[in-house]
Amino acid sequence: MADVKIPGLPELTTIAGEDLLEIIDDPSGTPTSKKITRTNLVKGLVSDDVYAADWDGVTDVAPSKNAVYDKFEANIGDVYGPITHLASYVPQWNATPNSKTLVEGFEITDAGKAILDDVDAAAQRTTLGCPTDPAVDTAGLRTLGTGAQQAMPGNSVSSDAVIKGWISFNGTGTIAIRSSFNVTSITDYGTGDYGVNWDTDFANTNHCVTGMAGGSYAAYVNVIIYSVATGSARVRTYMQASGAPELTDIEIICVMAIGDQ
Amino acid sequence: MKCRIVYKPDKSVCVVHPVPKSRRANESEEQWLERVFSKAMQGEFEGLPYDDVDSSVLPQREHRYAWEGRKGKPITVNQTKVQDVEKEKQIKNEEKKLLREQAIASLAKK
Repeated sequence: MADVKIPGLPELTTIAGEDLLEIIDDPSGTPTSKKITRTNLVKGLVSDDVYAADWDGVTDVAPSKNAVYDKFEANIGDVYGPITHLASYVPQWNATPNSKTLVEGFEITDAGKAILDDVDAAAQRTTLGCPTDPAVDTAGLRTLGTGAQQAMPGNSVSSDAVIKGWISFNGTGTIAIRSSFNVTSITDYGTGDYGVNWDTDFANTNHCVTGMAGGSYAAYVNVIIYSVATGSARVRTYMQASGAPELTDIEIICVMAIGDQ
Repeated sequence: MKCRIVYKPDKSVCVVHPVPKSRRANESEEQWLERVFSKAMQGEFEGLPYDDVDSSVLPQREHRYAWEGRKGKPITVNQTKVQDVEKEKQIKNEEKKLLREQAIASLAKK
């Protein structure tokens, strides 16, 4: 073979992984002729460790873009994947800010694109439909970036509108708590006289406590808010069959409270 | 379930029933009960004697208004109070019956 010029060699039209090529190692230092398999040659040409590690060097000359994105999908829970993804994404976005398609096979929705195109947080609030005038109302939503309290848009929930504590219990027999939230205990003061002790206290005594009572009674039953403290509420349950209402243990007693904590 | 009986100076008792759901994940039962009972004792119960007992030892609730107790002793039902209340109820019922009969009689005259 050494005596034949390259144009005189028989042609190989397909190449296997173990086929050999001649290569000059360290050409600028001490040049040495060495052999290298096709597999190792192609592996060495692929510089990105993300997929080089998994690639057999045979299946394709280089992984297709789709294969790269598949790899990103597989790495989505890892640290490396998202960082690599963002690192490739951000410069491309900066280079072409309004390109909808950054990379083949990767598409941003119009909504996401609109947010990315906004110049700052204020513009993003506008895009998102967040209110922008902090002076309108001090209650409710804190908007992106500023931390300022904003007016509540309709049909939204703020901390002021959330029930902070509630309980449903049976006041007859041995007191039995059905279910509750933010309640540590019930104090039995006597017949039809109960205290609800909150786990997280209220900020003051101006919060709203309300209650209802019921059961299979042929009479009116009612809950009276007897007293309110920051850490508890005392309620009394009455039944009125005829004449004056009387303190009575009631089967279904529900109490809830709303206010600042 | 443990509960705390608080003895008031007039011999009446209050009973604190913990809410099982309020126990936190990192709390032992003892820690939880201590926290719950301490919270309930704040305010009007501060300094009053108490006993921690199982709720199964509490008397029937029918005469809850007549429960009385002293630290270290079981809760008792004051029968004198029960009789007084029963008598009062009886009088009220008789008064109601009388009023009803009078109302029916006046309607009958018409």
